[in-house]
Amino acid sequence: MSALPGTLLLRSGCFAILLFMLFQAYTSFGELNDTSSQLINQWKSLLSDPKHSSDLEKLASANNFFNDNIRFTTDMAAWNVKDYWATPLETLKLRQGDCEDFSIAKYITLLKMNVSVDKLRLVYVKAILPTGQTQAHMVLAYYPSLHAEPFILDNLNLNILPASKRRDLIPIYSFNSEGLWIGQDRNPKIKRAETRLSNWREVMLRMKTEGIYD
Amino acid sequence: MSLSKQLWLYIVLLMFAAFIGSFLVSCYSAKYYLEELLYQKNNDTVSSMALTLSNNAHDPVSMELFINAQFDSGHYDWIRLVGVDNQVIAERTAQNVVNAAPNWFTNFFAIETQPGVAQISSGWQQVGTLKLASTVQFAYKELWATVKRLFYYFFAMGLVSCITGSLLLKFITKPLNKAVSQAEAIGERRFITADEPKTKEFKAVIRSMNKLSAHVKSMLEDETSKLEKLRQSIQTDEITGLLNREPMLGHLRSFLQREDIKARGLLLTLRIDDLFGLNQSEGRANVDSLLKRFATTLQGIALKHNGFAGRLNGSDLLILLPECDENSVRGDSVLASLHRDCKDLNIANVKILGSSTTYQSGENVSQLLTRLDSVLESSGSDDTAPFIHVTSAPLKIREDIAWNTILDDAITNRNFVLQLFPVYSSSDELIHFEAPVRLVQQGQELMRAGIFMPHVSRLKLADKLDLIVLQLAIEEISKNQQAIGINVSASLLLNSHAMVEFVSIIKAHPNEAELLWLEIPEYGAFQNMENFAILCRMLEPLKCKIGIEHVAKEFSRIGELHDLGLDYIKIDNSLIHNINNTMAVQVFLRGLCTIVHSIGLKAIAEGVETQEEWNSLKELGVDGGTGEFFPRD
Repeated sequence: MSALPGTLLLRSGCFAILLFMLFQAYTSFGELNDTSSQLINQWKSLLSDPKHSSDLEKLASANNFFNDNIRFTTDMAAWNVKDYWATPLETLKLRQGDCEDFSIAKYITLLKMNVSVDKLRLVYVKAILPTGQTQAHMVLAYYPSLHAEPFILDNLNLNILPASKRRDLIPIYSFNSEGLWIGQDRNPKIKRAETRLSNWREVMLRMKTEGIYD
Repeated sequence: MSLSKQLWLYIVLLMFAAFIGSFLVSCYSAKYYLEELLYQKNNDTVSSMALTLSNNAHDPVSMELFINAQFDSGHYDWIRLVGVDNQVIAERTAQNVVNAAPNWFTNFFAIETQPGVAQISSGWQQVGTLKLASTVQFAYKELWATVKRLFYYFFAMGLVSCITGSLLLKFITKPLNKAVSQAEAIGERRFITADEPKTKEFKAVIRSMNKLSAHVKSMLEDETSKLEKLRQSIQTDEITGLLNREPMLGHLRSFLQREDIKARGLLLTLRIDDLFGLNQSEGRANVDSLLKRFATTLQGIALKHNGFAGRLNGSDLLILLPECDENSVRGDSVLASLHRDCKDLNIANVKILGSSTTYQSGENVSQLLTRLDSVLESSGSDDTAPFIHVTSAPLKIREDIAWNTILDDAITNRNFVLQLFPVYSSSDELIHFEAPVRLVQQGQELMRAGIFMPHVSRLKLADKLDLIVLQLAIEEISKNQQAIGINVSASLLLNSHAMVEFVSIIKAHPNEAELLWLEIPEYGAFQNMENFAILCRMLEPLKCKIGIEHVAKEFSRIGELHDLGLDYIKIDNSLIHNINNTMAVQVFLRGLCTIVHSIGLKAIAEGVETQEEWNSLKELGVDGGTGEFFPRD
């Protein structure tokens, strides 16, 4: 399966966003010295934190956890490939990721926190930067109800805002993991897969082998 | 189960297993491949459709049109667009799907395609979910075609393997068949030797069986030579080595009962006049050496004509020369050669009287001896005619018959019948009927073979008569389903064409062949051992029984019969007559039976006349008997 159509746009856009993010990383990432395993443990405890009662509390926790702990970077810097969709564990281990990694990590985290898959969408958006430039970007959208206006979880704007408050984002295409067929093989060898899978399916498969997603 | 069948079964099973294996492997891998491929196609299509729909008009008519266009121009099973509140906005499903493969196959290899699913949105607003599945019939079609191709391939390969395998097996087991037939032959006590094959394993088997055969052969040679010595010691005169009176007359008696050409011949008697006086004048030792000389001379004549020479008493010598008459062996020349012997030993004044007569089937011994005796004295009284030939007056008339006309007619019109004489086993069960041939002449009683056979032989009609006799026997067998034994003339062995024809007649009657017993006279078999062996080999697969009749002389050569596949021998009447009173011959017969049994043959006694003879024969180990003692029905 070929990559989703927006990916190419996204890839080039990520680099520009990086510069902006570097600044934020120095100011807000207070736990840079923590080891990766500590961070993963924190993430695990976050998943089962009993104090989250509403979806909005879960959204806030997940959004803040990743925005605070993960440094924005490019796939080239992190993985030495042009485009790589990392699983949450990979992202946490590296403590860095690009916009897709943030979105995927938040998406999985929310699913793990029992937020219905119907309410979540990964959205390719055209982001209008403060400079006036437009960049390809990805965010996570949360729909409180099917017809409602979604809340946007973003790593550019750290606050969770309703879509109408995000005039800087123009949605292009949305998707989630509903109906996604990962395959019958319980232990697929992704890295050596001879047939190329879509980035989305591949990352889901890797999560499956990691045991995060099933 | 034969090796070949096992191989076929093995190949069929192997091919079947390989076919099932390939079938499953290729079908399952194709199935997984196709499932993945179809999913990717579904997913790609649904994604690009959703992307297009997300960025276009969202009124239901436009979306339905879009889906219709996609469905009609593409290869889909179904496309469904469901709104956010789960109501169907547009749906298309393929109609009239033609199955490309049989139902059982599509059920067994169900290709479970995952539908492609994608979300459609309008700006931030969700519009619905698009799902679609591509058609799988092409996949089934391909898969089914593959399976069929596989099947044909394996079927052809299986067939080819079976055929080449059989040929190979045939090649490999050729020596095995040899070993098997040798082993079977040994099982039937035919101790044959076979050529050693190249295959190592079979070579060892055949070699050891050959050793066994060789061992048996040498054992047989030992035993038969012992037996021959025994026979000589009991049957021959110490001084001359000629047969004693009893065995000599036994041979004569047997010849007179014969049904073949030997039933006619010349009998020649020589008497040394005043042997007592000669002993006194020349000294006993000299006379003995003269007698030995005479014996050598007479024995030579007898051997030359397949006859016997015997010493009836001190001074009377008898030569029995079958198939001869007064012209072929001249009495006066025999006498002359004896006189030469006298001269050689410097013994003068030896007066030898001689007479001869022809004998014919049906005459009796004492008549013949009286006839010879009656002229012997008169031959001595007249020095000018020291040798007299007497013809048998009562039978003289037979000489006048135009034999060639009669026999030609008889053979053309098949004027022959078989007369049946029962042969009983030692447990008094019927073994078969001995069936000598009889000539049918209008207004006359049946003529014994002993009368006409010498003429048949002289006129060289024996081969033809053999074929007629065989046909008569086959007719008799198919009529009564009873085993019939027929005499086969010795001259058949000399004519390979007749032999082949003879065998082919038997081959044409496989059912009757099993009940057919063929008997060749001893002299015929041993004189033409090679041809006899060929005949035996030709007859072997036909399951008829083969035997040698009138066995009286060639005991020392019985060992040679061990690998011919014979079934029985018939012991000549000369050994059977008065057996209950002849202890020495009993010893000999017991030994003979033992040897004969050891090579798997049955011993049948000829010319049993009394209950006493039969009792003692059974005791000696004889397996069966025939003769006057056994009534015809």
